[in-house]
Amino acid sequence: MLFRQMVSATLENVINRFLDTQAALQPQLKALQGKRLCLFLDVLDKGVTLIFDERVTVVNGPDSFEQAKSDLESDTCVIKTKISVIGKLSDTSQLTTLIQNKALDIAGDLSIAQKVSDMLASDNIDLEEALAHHTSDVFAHGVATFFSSVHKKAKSYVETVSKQASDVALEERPIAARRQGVEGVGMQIETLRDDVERISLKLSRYEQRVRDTQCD
Amino acid sequence: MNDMSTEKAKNENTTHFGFKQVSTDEKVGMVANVFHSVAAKYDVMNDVMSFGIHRLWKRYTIDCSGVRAGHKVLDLAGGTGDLTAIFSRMVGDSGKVVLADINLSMLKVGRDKLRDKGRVKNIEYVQANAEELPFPDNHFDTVTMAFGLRNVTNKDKALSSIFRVLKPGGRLLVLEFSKPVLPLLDKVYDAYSFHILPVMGQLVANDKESYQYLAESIRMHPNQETLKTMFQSAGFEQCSYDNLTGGIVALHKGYKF
Repeated sequence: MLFRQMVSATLENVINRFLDTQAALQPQLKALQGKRLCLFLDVLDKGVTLIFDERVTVVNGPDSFEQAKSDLESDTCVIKTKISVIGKLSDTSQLTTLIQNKALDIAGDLSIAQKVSDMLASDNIDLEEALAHHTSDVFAHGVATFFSSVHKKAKSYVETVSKQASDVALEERPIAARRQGVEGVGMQIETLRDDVERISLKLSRYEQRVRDTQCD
Repeated sequence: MNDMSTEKAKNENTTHFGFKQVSTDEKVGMVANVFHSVAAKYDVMNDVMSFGIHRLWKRYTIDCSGVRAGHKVLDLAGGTGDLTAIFSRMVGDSGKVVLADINLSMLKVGRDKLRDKGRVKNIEYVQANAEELPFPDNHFDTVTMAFGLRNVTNKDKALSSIFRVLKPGGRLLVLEFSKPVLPLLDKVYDAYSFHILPVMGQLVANDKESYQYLAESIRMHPNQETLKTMFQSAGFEQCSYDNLTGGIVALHKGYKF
């Protein structure tokens, strides 16, 4: 019965400890003071509410998205989404698509979601600084450099694998059309369309001539 | 006949202080002395005695409180202000939290702790007796009482007083030690309460007697169903309780309509 409370307490502790180490994020946190963000995720049976103040308080509830919407207050934003979608929320250009695909439902003050999203996507987040509070500076720098290098290598590996998969699909097992092929078909369709238009015009002209002959 | 009426009058004017039977006037002073004595070490002892679980019990209470921005909340017997600290964030600048406690030492510890945390804007401190609350009728949206009711001399009177100050639609949450409902847990809990707890009290707070009283007062406190009936008698509706940690603690809820 107390599992949810344990999770929310841990989450609150982690968020606040992290924010304590991020001086550059304080102006963004200040802009959120007095605001609330209710989050409903597919992996949770109830909502979780983040209350922003000089720190973040995490409270369990409301029970459902519908209830949160009906009890909506000013300075509150309610979001219902899937955990797999959270990473995409920082890209505001995708929000409309996510809403259309029913992967995201938002009610209330949208600027709160925007501010939180901006904070999460902020370049001001300094993981090395956060880690240095719990370890030595040298160790923190080493770990940050290691993870940065791993991230770069992983990114490069993913790009290489994607390229190879693309080549296989296009060349070795042509299950996908190559760009040139698609462009060629497009040009043929264009030519065909022009031919149809030309024939159509010729036909119209002949029809007109026939009508004129009948009149004479 | 004369002896019976004398006995009845004696029972009406006495109550329990732990396992002892004392006069009602005496109990107030004795409870006050216990909390004057433990106030400085209250938070540390709570963590030590409950292995930190009291924080989760309090979080559960907060999650059940339904407190929203702009609400007026009374944290009765609020002691060192654990609930008040979170409620003050939940109600925001437009709301208000009153931290009330009959014991001045506890109230001072709570006030200092909250001020150290920077919580000053929307909190008021009131030294008040739960049996005679100094607030207008229909004033609060939520009243909470965490680990306080068992120390109140006249619990029925306190519940009626709380009912009076609650707004219609408001709710009362009482978090209190109760009767374990899991088999064997009561035996382990008894052994812990009467043998280990007083020793811990002696070691950490240098006060064995107060923690002996704590164990005894828990046993003398009404069980879950009895307290629920007391809620109903005071006028509360939709009364229910949740057992936490096998019934060692129970959260009772009641609404005023």
